[in-house]
Amino acid sequence: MTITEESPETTLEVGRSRLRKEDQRLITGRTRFTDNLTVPGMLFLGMVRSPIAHAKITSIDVAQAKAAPGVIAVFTGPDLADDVGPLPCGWPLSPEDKVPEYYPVARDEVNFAGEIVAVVVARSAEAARDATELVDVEYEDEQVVLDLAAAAAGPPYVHPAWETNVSTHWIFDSAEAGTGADVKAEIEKARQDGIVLERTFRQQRLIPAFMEPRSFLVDPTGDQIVFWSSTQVPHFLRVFTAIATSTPEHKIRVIAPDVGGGFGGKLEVTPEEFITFTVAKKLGKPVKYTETRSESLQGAHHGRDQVQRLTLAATKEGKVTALHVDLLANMGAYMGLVGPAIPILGAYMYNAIYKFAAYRFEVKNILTNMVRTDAYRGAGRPEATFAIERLMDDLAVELDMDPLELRAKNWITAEEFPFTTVAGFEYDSGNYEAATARAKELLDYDGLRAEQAERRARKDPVQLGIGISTYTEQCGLAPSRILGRLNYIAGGWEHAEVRMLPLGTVEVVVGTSPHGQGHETAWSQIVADKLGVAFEDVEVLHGDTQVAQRGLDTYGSRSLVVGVTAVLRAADKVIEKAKPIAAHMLEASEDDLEFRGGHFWVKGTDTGKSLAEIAFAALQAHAWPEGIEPNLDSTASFDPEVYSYPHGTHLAAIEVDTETGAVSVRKYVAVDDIGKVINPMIVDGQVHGGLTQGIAQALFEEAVYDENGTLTTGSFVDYLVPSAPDLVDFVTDRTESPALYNELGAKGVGEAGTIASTPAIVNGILDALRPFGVKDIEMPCTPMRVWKAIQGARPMTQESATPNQAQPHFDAEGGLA
Amino acid sequence: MIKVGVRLREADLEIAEGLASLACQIIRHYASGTVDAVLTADHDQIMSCRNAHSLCKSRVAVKLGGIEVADCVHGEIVPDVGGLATSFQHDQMQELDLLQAGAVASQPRNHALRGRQSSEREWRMRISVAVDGVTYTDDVEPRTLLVHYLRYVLGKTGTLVGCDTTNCGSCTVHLNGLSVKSCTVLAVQADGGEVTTIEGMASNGELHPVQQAFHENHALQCGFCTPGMIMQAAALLNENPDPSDREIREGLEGNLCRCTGYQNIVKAVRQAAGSVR
Repeated sequence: MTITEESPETTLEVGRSRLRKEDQRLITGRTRFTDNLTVPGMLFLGMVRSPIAHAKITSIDVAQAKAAPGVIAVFTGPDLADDVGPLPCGWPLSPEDKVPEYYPVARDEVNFAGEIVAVVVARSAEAARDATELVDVEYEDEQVVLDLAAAAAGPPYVHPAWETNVSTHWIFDSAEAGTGADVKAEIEKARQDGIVLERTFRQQRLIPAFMEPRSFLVDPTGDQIVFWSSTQVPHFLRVFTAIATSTPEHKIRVIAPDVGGGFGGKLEVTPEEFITFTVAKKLGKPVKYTETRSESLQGAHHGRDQVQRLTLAATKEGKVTALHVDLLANMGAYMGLVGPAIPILGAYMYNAIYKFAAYRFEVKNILTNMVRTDAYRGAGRPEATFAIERLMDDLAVELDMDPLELRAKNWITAEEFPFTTVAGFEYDSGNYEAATARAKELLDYDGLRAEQAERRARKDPVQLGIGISTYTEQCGLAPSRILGRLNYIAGGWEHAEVRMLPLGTVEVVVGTSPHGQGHETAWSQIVADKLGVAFEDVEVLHGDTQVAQRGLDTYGSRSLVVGVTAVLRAADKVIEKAKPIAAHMLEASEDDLEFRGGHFWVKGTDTGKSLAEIAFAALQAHAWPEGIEPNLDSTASFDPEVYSYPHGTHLAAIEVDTETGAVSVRKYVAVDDIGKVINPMIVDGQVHGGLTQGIAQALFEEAVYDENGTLTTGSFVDYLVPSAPDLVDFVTDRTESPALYNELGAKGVGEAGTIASTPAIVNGILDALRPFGVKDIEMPCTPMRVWKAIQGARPMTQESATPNQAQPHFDAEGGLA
Repeated sequence: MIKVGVRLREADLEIAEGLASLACQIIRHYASGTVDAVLTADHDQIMSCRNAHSLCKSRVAVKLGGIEVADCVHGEIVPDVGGLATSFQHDQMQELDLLQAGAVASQPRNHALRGRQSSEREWRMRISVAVDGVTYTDDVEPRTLLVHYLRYVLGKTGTLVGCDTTNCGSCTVHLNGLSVKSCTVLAVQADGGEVTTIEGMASNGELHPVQQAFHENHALQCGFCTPGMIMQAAALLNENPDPSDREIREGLEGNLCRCTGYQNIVKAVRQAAGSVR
C-alpha cells in the first residue's frame, strides 16, 4: 500500500470522541424507520399464525375473512406455491445436513407455534388485523418435540420422513486436525494422576428483542421493485428474494432505511419478508407489513439454546491439558439463514486464552417444535466463553487456588504472541497480563477479597463474590476460504467505493449496513484523516443496494475490520490516481511529490495541490494528462486472511442476599483490548450495550416454552429485557495491542461485552455462595433459583420452566442420552 | 343490538340528566337491528337506572347531520361505553346533532354482527387536539390509540411503537403536561387536550436541553427508544429538577433501551438537570 507520511498534525480524527452525525435526525423524531414510510395506495398485511406447535392443517376457511370490510385478498400456503419458494438456509454444516423445507406460509403442516398459515391483505392495518381473527383453521395435533436430549435420542420426530431430529453432527478434533494431541488420551492420563472436571451447563434460549419491531414495505410500481426492510442484511435479502420469487436480481432494490437495532436478530431472511414481496408483486400494489411485539418475540428467531457437556483435564498443579466439548444445540423446527453454524462459530473458542495440549469439539444440531434459532450477539462465542470461564473458576476451587492466578498460570503470555492455538488459529497480538492488572486495580481486587473474607467470617446475610471473565473472541467475519471450508454459501469479504466530488467533498460507499453502531461518524473520522479532508466533508452511504451495490452487510463485528479496510484501500487508490494528475498540474515528477494533509506537496516546498483541486480538475478535464481517465473514484474489495482476536479481563463485584436470593451487581469493571480505537465514546457505548445483554442472560432473560410448545414469554411483561434501575454504571478501560493484519490495527468490539459478561456474573454469584457449597446455578440466576441453591436444593431442576434443563452429571459410559 | 355512546358535555349532573331526559334516544334502523342509546354523562358520571328508564320512554326528534332520522323507540342503559360525541345546545334541547352523517351514509346493508363491531360500524368521534402547538380536528374510531392517531392520521412518525403491552415506552409523549405512554391512551381521551411529541421539543431551531444532552453524551445508538426516552427524561426533570442517579434510573424504568445499557442516558439526564435548573 502507499506509504503516506503522517505527522502528528495530520492524525486529527482517529482516536477522538467525535459526536455522532447520526444523532440529529434521531433526537428530533425525523426518522425513517420502515413503519414510518408510506407509499400511496399501500395495502397492509395481517398474519394468521398457528397457536399450535405441531399439527397437520386439515382445513382453512377464509370466506368470512375475505368478506370482511376493507379486505382485498386472503392467501394460504397453496395459493402462493407458484409464487415463492422456501426460505434459504445459507449455512448447513455439510451437504448431508437435514434442512427442512421452510415455506413462508405453511402448506399442510405447522411445526412451531407462531408459524404463518394465512395472510390477509387489506386497505388498513386495522382491517387486516381484524380479519385475521375471521380465518378459521382446523388442526390435527401431532406430538410436540421440545426436550433436547429426548429429541436427540428418538421419536417423536419434528419431520418424521427423516426418522431423526438430529440435523447434523459436526466434529473438530485437534489430533485429527494435526493441531494438538488426542483428547481421550489426555483425559485418561488426568484421570490417573491429575484432575478431571465434568460439567453440564445450560445456555438458555434468548430473544434478541431489538427495540424496533420488524417492518417491510414493498413497492412494485416502478422500474425496480423497491423493498424497504428493517434488516441487517440488505444484500442477502436481495439475492435470496430474487431466487425464491424468480425475480431478476437487477429488478430488486433493497433499502435498509433507519433500522432500530439488530444484534443478529435481523440477520435473517424471513417468511414475512418473502410474503410481503410476493403479495406486492402478485397484486401489483405497494404492500406493508409491520409486526407487533408479540409476533416478534414469537416469530423472529431466537438465540443460544444449548446443553453443554464439558470435560476439562488438568495436572495436579493446575496446568490445563485437555478440553472436550459436547453440545446439543436447539435449531428449532426450521433452519435460519445461518442458524446451523452458530454453535460452530464458537467451536475454536472454548480453549480461549489458555494453552491446551488437546481439544475436541462436537455438536449435534437438533430439531424441535420451536421457532428457529440463529445469530444473537456473540453467536457461538458467548457460549464458549461461558463454558471455559466457568470451568476455570471451578478448577480454581478444586485446587483451592486464586482464580486469577490459575488463569495466569495457563494463559498465553504477552511474549508468546503471535500464538497458534490447539484449535489451529493464530492469535496475532494481546496482553492478558496488562488487561488483568488494570482490571484488578480498577476493581480494588485485593480490597474486595479482604471484604469478602470479613463478610464470610461474620456470616453476613449479604455475601460478596468476585466474578471473573478473562475472554478472547474470534470476530471480523471472515476469511472467505475458511467460510468455504465450513460450507457457507457466501464469502466474508467487503467492498467499498470512495468518490471525490468536484467541489472537494467525499462520498464513501460501503457494503456494510449499520443499525446504531455509529459507522457514519467513525468512518468519516477515518477517511478524513486518510484523505486530509474535513470530518464534515465526508458522507457515508450504505444500506441501499442501488447505491451500495456490493457488500456482505453487518454482523459478526466485521464492519470496521473488514469494511473499513476496504475503504482505506479504495482511498489509497484515489490517492494513487491523483498523484500523476498532481504531478502534471505541478509540473513536477511523481517522485518529487509527497501526500500530506490532503495535499500533494513538492517535497521541500510549500507548493502543492489539494485533492479538492484535483477533483475539480477532473470535472473540467481541460488540462488532463493524456491516457488517464478523468476520474479519481476508486473501489476496493477486501477479503481478510485471518479473524481478529480482541480480548479482555472483566471483574464483577456481586452481592447476594442469602435470605432472599437477590443478586445485585455492585461494581463491574471491563478492561478490553480491541486494538486501535477509532472513537472512544462509540466504543464505550458498544461495550455498555454488550455488557447489558450478557448480564441480562445471567440474571433476567429466558425464552420459555410450555409443555404444549407455546411460548409463555411472549411479551415484555414476561421476557425481562433489563431497564435502567436493574443496572449500574460500568467502569471501562482499555489496553491496546494493535491487530497485525489490517491497516487500522483494529479488532472489532460490537460483541465483546456480551461475550465476556455472562460468566463474570455467574462466577461472581457462585463465588459469593462458596461457603454454602453451591456448585452451580442455572441461568437466569433469578432470586428463586439462587435461594433454592442456597437451601441445598439440587441446582436447577424440577422448577425449571424449560424442558431442556441441565442434565445431571452424565453416566459412566459418557453418552449424553 | 348496537350501542351508541352519547357523551354529554355538561359538567353538572343534574342539568345533564335533565337534558338527557329530553334527548336520550337515537334510533337508526338497519336491515336487522336497532340501535340502543347508551348514556354517559361527562366526567365519568353514570346515570342511575331509575332515571334511565324514564329517559328511555321519551320520544324525541333526533337529527343526524341536520337531517331528521327517527324517534326514540326503545332504550337500555349501560354505563360508560363511549362512542359518539354530541354537541349540545341548551336552547335546542330537542335536537341531538350527531356529527356522523358520513357514518350513516356508509353503513353497509348486510353486516355480520360478529367480531369487533367497530370494524364494521366504524363509529367515529370528533376530537380536537393540540399537538406540538397546532390544533387538529379529526373524526376517529373510539378504539384508535393516541400513538396511531399521531403516527398515521397526523403523520407525526417521530413517536414510535415498540411493543403491545405498555412496557417499552417508545411511544411516550406529554399529554396535558404529564408523560404518558400514547399506546395506552385512546385518541378520544386526548380530546381538548395538549400533546407534545418529540417533534415539538426543539423550539425556534434550538434543541431542548435534554435533546442536546443526549447528543453530547452519546445517549443513543439506533435511536428507536430515543424519542420516548427524551420525553420521559424531560417529564422526570419537570417533576424532579435535581434527581440522584438512582432517581434518574428509577424514573426511566418504563423506557426500555436495548443498545446503550442506559449508562450514557443517565449521564445525559444528569447533564440536562444541570442546565434546566
